[in-house]
Amino acid sequence: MVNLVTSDNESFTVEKAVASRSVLIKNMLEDVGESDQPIPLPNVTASVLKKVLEYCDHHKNEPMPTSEDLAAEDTRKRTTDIGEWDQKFIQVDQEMLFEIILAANYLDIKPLLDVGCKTVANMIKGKTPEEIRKLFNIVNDFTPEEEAQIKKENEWAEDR
Amino acid sequence: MEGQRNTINTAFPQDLDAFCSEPSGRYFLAVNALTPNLKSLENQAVPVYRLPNEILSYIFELANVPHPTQDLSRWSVSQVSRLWQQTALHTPRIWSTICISNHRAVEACVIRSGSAPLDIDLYIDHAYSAHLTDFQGYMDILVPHMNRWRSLEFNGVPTKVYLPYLLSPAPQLEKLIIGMHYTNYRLPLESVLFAGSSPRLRELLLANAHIPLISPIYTGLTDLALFNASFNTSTISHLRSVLRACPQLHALHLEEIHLGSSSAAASSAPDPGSIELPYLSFITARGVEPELVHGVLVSVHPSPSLELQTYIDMESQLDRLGSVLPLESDLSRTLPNLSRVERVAFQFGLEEEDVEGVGYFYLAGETRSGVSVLDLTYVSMYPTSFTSTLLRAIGETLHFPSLKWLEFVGLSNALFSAEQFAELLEHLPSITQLDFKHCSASFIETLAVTPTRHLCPRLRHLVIDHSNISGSGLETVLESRNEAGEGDAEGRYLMFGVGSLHVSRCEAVGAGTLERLRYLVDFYLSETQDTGDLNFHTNLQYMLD
Repeated sequence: MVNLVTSDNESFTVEKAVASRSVLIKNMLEDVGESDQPIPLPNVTASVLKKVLEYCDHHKNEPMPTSEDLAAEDTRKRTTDIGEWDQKFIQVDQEMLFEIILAANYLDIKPLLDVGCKTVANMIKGKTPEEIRKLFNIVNDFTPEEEAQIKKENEWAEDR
Repeated sequence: MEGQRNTINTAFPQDLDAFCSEPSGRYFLAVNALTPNLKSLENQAVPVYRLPNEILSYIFELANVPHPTQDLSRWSVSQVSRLWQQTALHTPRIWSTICISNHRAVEACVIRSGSAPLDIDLYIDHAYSAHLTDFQGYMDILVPHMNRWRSLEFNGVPTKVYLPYLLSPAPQLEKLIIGMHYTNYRLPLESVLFAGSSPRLRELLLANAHIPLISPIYTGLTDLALFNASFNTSTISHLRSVLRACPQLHALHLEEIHLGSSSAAASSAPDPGSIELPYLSFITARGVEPELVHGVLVSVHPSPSLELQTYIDMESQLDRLGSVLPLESDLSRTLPNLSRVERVAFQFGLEEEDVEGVGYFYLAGETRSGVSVLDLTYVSMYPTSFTSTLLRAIGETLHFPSLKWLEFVGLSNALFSAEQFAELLEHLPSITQLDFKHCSASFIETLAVTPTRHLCPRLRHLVIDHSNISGSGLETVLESRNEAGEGDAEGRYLMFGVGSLHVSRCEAVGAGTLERLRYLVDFYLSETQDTGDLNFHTNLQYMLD
């Protein structure tokens, strides 16, 4: 078993197979060897880690993507398809969604990072800039000159 | 400076110098200049802004699906806010797909894509004259960046229009798709695409576009697809040379491809050696001469998992299975997948009720798990002789050592005699399941055990759909097999009768018989509806004679 301590000082004791879905933790365990020492995760809160561990537990028996797999990935054939279980898992509010992405990135869990990023990508797809701003509460911060340039760009970008 | 002032909003005071010199004017301008920065600061509190740029960049790549009619995401994300714009402009890969749009957009994409490899898709549904002008305009922008081309796809452009743009080396090109409409634009022999240098080209698809088979472009490919082209000056030897030059070939697709008149002679000539293509897993041939398929098959040593799919119009003198499949050679080498086939399906049908009409012959071989490894469709003007040829080949010249399940659709006495059918089954003692659909009674009745005949002794499953077999005929079959199942005369095998029976749409089998049948088998199912299975090709006529 592995003991993980979050930034808000909460401890989680999990199976090694679950914790090792994180390449960061896996490498730490390999470096440290057999030890009862808790592993501090200063960039992850308890609520987020709980969710991340739920994902790791569900996928613990799946093969880990190798560096060769990642290198051979054809960017042209990328899709934003998400498995059924993962879709349900990632149905969270935006705050949590982005926290899961950040945690997956920090903990180096590529499949979870993909699930999060694909979810955001699917939210963006087919939307206009204004719709995207509204979706994420982003304020239009362009200067009038930049706006004019964008308007000009739109004239030919949308002429299809 | 005067010019700049004129561009400022007319709501501003006319005398700007005087306005700016006043304290209120300076305050107004300062606030105006700060506002975007304040808004940018406001954005910092938004959850999505917590994502680092590299992740945002990755999300933009995932969201980007450039398509002529849906080319929205990359332009949208670059217009959301200053941060998103900067991130988008520093993500070359979202700009590296060039679709048909307009010249300014193509120019912008080429610049913004930096040094990323370009995927160019200038495919349109129909050729029209304005498109040619557009094509030339795009190419004028794209050709200076030819060293970045990774894939190029276009259609409806005459050879004389596209050729001048494709004469320089394309060092990174991996995929080329040229699709023409209707006309076979012939590339002059002296023209060498990409100056003979496209060293990374792996996927080549040519439709109505004729590049001679001696071109160096047919080298090192993994996927080759040729549609609608007559290589009149080429023979099967040229095609074999192409195959030899592509040792990593994975898929070969030939459709409506015709070679020169000497092709037939060349195909029968002994091949100097087998062409090792260990990755060749798919061969599809539609509307080609049988010798072409034969010529390819006899020459190659493909992947053990090769899947073969053909659709061939047989000429009268070529009504032989061997004119397509290299039966004379070692099939375990040429078609190693035959050893995995457990289920073979045949469909025989006529376009018209007249037996002299065109016949369709479909032969499908699958593994038990349903993986199709053989999918042969023949069309013949002489259905009777071809049916005999095809069925006789099974178990004799075409061996399926694992075969357990046979499916027949459309067996009629006009095509094939029941006696010939019995001879076929005698070669196949390991069969455990037989399915008959639209088959005449006489074929099913051959399964009745007699003192001189016991076909398919291991038969356990029988499926009959739409047959003219009578109730008594069916009872005879089942009873005789049950009796024979009590013991094996030579004591080598433990024999059983038919275990499961599925009967549907057999009008000559009365209700009383149906009731009795359930006591003759372990599992029994009777339906009045079409089971829906075994429909490979629809709209064919069947005859129950």
